[in-house]
Amino acid sequence: MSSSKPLIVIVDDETHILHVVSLKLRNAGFEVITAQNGEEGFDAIAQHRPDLVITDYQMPVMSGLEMCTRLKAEPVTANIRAIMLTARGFSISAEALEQTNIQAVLSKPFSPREVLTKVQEMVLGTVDKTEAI
Amino acid sequence: MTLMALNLESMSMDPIRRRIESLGITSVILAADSGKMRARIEGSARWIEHLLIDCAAFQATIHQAWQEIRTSPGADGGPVTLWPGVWLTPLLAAPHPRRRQTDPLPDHCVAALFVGTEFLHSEQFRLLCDMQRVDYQAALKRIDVAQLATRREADRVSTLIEWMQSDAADAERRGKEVYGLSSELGETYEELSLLYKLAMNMTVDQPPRHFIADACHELQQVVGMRWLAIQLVADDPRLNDLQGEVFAAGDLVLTHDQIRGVGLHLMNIGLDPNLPKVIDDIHSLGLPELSRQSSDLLVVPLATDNRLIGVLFGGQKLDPPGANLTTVDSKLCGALANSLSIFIENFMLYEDMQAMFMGTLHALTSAIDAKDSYTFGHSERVALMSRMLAEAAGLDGQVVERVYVAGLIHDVGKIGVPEAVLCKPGKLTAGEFEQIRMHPEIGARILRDIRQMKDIIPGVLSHHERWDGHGYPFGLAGAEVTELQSDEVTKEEVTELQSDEVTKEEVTELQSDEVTKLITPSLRHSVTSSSLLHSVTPSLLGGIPLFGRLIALADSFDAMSSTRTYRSRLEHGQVINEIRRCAGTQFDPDLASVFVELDFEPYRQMHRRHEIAAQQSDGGRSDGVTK
Repeated sequence: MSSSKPLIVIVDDETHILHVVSLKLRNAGFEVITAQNGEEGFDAIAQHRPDLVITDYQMPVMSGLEMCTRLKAEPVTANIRAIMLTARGFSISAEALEQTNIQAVLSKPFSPREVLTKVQEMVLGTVDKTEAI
Repeated sequence: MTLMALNLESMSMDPIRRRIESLGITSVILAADSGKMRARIEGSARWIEHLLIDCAAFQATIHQAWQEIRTSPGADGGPVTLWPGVWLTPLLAAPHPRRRQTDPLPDHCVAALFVGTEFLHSEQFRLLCDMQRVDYQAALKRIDVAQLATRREADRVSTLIEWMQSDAADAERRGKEVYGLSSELGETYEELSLLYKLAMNMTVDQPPRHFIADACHELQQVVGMRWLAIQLVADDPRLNDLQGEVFAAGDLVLTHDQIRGVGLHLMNIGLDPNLPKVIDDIHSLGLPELSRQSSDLLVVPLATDNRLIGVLFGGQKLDPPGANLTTVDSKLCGALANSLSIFIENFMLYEDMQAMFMGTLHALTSAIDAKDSYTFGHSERVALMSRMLAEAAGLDGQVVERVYVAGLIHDVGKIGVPEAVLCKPGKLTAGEFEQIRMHPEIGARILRDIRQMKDIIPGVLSHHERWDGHGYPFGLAGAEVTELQSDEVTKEEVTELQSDEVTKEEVTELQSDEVTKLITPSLRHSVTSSSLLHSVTPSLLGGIPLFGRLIALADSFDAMSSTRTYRSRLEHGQVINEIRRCAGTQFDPDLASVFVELDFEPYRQMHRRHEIAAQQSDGGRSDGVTK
């Protein structure tokens, strides 16, 4: 894998979500690293400094919110932005989000296409033309 | 996860090759070169192995052995003996025992090369030394015998390699499976998310037109087509005003009329109502404007009970560019078409029910109005003006429709009033007048048990109340204070609302009930009505309900604008002046000021229609214009 590809870290305890999202992103030319809980995710992010993080909210060991809060508090990862996937109807307070770099919250069941569009928008700063029609 | 990009064979063989090399076993690459299978060394190897590989006779033996493997594959699965004490185990993607005759051998592969001590004692070793111009005795000294293999070792390692190959093939197959499942799951997520969005939209009370347009747009995005359209059939009256409608989304390559043409054509080509279809041969449709634009066309019928109600179609896949439409696309469109069909069917059923309901109401109210030819069309005109007033007063669309129904049904209680009284020319006796005054309560009682009329009843019951409290049946005054507003009502206001006619005894008698406490003395003659009022409008804390105030204006306006048994109609200007004059006494002053500004043209037209109809039905008795 070439290092010029943008790197995304996906954190979710449900492997099927990891598979679906990584497949969509890899096929679109992103490099992907996955982790299964907030702690693993935090270590992977601190080590690899990805361009973007996609994380679930509810996970064992450490929640996605706690992970993102810790990421923002840590100088080396303070500027890494994140997208959060949550159960539908589950809302996170604005104050809690304030302590993180979560810039978008998508609810499950999510559309992989929409996740990809969001990632492209945030990482490449572009919107795929087909989506913009 | 990188399966897609890599050669599958090298993918599974590379780790095995690295492993056998780390065990000190030499691997060679076998590859076809000008029609001959040749071996070469890429990693590290021993001197004796280099010597062998460099020897043309050895290469010829390898080529010959390869042909034998090809013709009788996997005889025993063990190493192939090339020369005495020289064995080769090819690392084939499929393990020997399961390789089938029909599987062609690859034109290159990796193989493990073993050299055993017996080779050193063979004739071939001497020949090798001769051919490669190496001194036989020096060669023997140079070789570290301890590093040579035995046949047993070669056999065991070959078996291990076979197992590893089998495991690697399994792992690879599972990897492919996971990849396939992830792709399918991804599609399912798209489908789920799309259907979820649609379901969310369905619960929102939005016009079907918007819903279908949204669905069309969402699907075009999800499937990644350049354009997508939905055409509804033009000959199903159940579709009401959606008959023959076209919805389109995306980058429209055709004009609206062309899309309609394609849609109508597609519905006539004998589609199976339950099967989505990808038409690859667009030319066969004979639609030049379409075949110029798309190479294939997805067609999904919309059907309820096997009856075609529309067709969804679109073309030109954009994501990935230039791709053909797939079964995934038609599956997704099929799922959406299903929901859409159900939605449209529900809409039609709803419309049917609504039409039935309104038809019944109209029939019922016409029957009431027909009791007295002077009131022909009265209910419909009151409904019309109540609706216009409600709209102008800024009420919510749904409430406006309920006001219309209330206006239509407001006089239903007249069913219980004898025709002789209703149609009596000249002055009514006090008793007759009392009978007429009963109609709001009779109406409320008739409607009491109809769940769908709960919100209408207060309007029916209170349409003869007056702003100043001198109306009937309860003599309510002012605007009703609803529960929401009740906190704001001060004690002074409550006192003000109480009529000063209420005697002390009555107040004491009634004060246990917050509602009746606010009701004026006309309660005296209708205790039953008060409980009725209370049961249908629990929020009524006094004052005239909004529906009643709206209908009262429309009702009086129509009464004054129509000829009655006892008087001729008034001129429009007079009627308006009268309403202005009575604002704040008979009518809610705020609503009255809205009412006088209304556009009365629709009313005039309706009134004219009613007059003509009434004339035709009974010789012009109700003709108010000429009278």
